[in-house]
Amino acid sequence: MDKKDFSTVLTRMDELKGLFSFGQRMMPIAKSLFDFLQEIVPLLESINVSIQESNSKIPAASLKLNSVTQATELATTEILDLVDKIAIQITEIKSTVEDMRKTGEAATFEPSYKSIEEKLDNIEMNTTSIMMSLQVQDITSQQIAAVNHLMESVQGRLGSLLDDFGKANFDDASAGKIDFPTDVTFDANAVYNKSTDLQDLANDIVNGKTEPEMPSFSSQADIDALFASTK
Amino acid sequence: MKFLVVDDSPTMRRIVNNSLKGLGYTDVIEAEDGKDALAKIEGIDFIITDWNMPVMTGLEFTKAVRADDKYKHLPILMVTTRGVKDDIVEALTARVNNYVVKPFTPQVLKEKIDTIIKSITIK
Repeated sequence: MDKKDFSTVLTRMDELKGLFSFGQRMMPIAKSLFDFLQEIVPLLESINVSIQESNSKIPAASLKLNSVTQATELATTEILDLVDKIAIQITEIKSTVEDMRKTGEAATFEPSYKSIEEKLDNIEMNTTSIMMSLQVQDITSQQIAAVNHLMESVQGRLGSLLDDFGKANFDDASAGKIDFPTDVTFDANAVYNKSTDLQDLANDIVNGKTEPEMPSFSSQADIDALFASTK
Repeated sequence: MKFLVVDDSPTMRRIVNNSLKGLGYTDVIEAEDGKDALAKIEGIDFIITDWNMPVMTGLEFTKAVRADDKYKHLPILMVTTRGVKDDIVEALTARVNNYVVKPFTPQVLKEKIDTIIKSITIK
């Protein structure tokens, strides 16, 4: 070994010393990192389990919402059946009153007939109001469809997260996936609002009374205005 | 006058149908979406359609009717929950004759039908 070689060995030893020194300084940091990972891994595992649980509950929630729609539709049909029966009975009673009026004693009982007819007219109006109020079933079913659609999106996102975690038991979570109805269309903004504001907007638009800067929601009159302006 | 009521909701079809009967219009047939309505359009004098429907929406149905020389003059009344101005303008652009926002009253339905019939009679 000549002098040059000896110098190279010394240089390498200095580098090694520096490396060891760096390693010594890095040890506490590496330990902290190790401790951090020890803490974070169970946390990530917990998040993963939590996402899987949430994801598996969405199909059940969706089924419950669909059953609400079906139940309200069934109940609405039953109410409409009864309303129809009442309407038929009203017609029959009115006809009977009319027949009674044709008898010789009509003059004596005319005030009673009139009173009966007025009451029947009131019942008829009330049954019509009941029928029109049942539009709430269509509107709420659209709201439920909108929520189901939102849940479908959330489930998709949660599925992607689980995929990212790369856990083998992701299959367990996806096993609970249900097929959301694809043939359902809805207005996410559907509201059961008996005020005439929206109809006034429609009227105004139909009749051409709506200004361009007019807010989106107003009344039926606005719709009429727009339609009238195009005729 | 023969009416065609187009709505995917059986409840709404029945309510509109009953309302029409209350107004004296007893000749009413129903369709559950635009495609079904196109199949039943022969002999129809007046169309009442919803907007949000599967298979073919009310807007698509309206455009299809207006594109058909045989039926393009049929009166169309849109009855929908969509009350946003842009939607109303879109329906108007597709050439519906008038627009009713749900929930509606029999009075509003009567008023719109009368207005459309009157405008057709004047023409």
